[in-house]
Amino acid sequence: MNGHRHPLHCILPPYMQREIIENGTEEQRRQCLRNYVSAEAMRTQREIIAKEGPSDLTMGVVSAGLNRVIYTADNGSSLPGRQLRGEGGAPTGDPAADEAYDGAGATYDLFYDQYGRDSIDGNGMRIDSTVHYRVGYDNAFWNGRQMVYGDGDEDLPESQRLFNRFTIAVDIIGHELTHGVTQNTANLIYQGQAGALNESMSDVFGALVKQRLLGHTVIEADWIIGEGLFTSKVNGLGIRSMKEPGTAYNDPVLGKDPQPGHMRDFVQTTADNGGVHINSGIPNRAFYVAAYNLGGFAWEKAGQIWYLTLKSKLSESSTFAMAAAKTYEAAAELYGVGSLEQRAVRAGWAEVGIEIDAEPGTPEPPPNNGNARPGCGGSLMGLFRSLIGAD
Amino acid sequence: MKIYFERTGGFMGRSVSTVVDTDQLPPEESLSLLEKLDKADFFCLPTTVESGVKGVPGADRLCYKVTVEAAGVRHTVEASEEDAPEELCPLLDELTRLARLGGD
Repeated sequence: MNGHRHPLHCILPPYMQREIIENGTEEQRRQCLRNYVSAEAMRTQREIIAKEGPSDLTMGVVSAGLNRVIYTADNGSSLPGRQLRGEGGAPTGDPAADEAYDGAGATYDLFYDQYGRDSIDGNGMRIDSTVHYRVGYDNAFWNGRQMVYGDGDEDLPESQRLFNRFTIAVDIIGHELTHGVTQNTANLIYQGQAGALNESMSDVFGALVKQRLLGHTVIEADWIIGEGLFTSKVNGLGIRSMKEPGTAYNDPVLGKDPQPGHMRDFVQTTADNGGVHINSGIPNRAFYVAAYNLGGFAWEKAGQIWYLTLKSKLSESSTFAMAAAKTYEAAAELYGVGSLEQRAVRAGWAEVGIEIDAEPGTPEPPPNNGNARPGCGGSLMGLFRSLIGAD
Repeated sequence: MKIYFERTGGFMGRSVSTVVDTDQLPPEESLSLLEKLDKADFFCLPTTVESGVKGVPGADRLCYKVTVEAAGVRHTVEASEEDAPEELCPLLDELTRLARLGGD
């Protein structure tokens, strides 16, 4: 091959296509006709999508930009199910379907507007979501290709219901979609510390979707994942607290929120793939503290640092210590070595018991007295914020 | 017959469990469980059910562990929801329902 593009792999003007079909070799004619048919199919598909939204007959051609399809499993388990709404389609009136649609859009917007990422795979991948999965399904998940949401405890007597539908909280939608982003970037193994990082990344960007929708600063945000998911029967704010891991709920039926917020409380377990939903509390709090120290909107600086880390710096088997080092490195790349942003990241990880070796010449951060927590009067973090003028 | 059931994982990472003694259940419920055990051919299932497709991506999936004690025999089957064979699903659904209603 001499490196120049084969002419028949280009988009040829009609007069040239005619020439080839009339005068070319058999193979050239066949190739040209294949390309012509393929181009016509793509053009027709774009017309259909523009008019009606994607159908089950789409040939898998993906156009850049937001492209959502919402399905219902009709309380069964076949995926993706029956299409309810395509991109640009009118609201259905089904709360779960419309929440899945809007939440996917808000998540896409965060990644695209803030971080320049075009959908889950960075290439405009269609975002598929299925609602009404099974009966009494108190869960939501990412199956490697799409998001899936259950309706909670709708099958139980009213007095026994603990969970609402899982589309009710936009951060849950952001959480699930972010699993797709992680799969297409660092691809963190869903086990142990790497799995807990995987979970934490989903909580981080899920929380940022919610905060951005609400326009909340780091101080105004509640830092609760899944607020609104519990029914009034449950004694709890939500599923997890990024600000104070272990405090999201304490309920006679559900038990107590098991998340640790410091490495000394790391949970060794074989359940839950080595506690991926439990130990994610540690990197969650590290993000919260870093974001709190930076002030303003968390999706800006802190989110940018975490996104760069996820996209370009982590490996499949990254540990918490590696993530700490890489977020520190990302902060230096974005804002400079020794910058306030870099020091805020270091303070975040130090708060959860993970020290990052400082670069030579980097000013040492204030000592951690072990009792200071963001939000408390006279705290270390309050001092840090006043020093950097973040308030 | 005693059935020990545990479901873990999922978005919440929560453990839901129950212990069922079929001798203590109403006859209709007992029969329903026994029929589902029979249909699943439970005692012939491998201890760990895997799809055989390694590295399948996904997150927040549910995982199940069922132990049945009968006639001096004890057998345990563990499977994630995406790997559970179709014949096992009715039993898992029934045990999940009992666990959600009664807890441990």
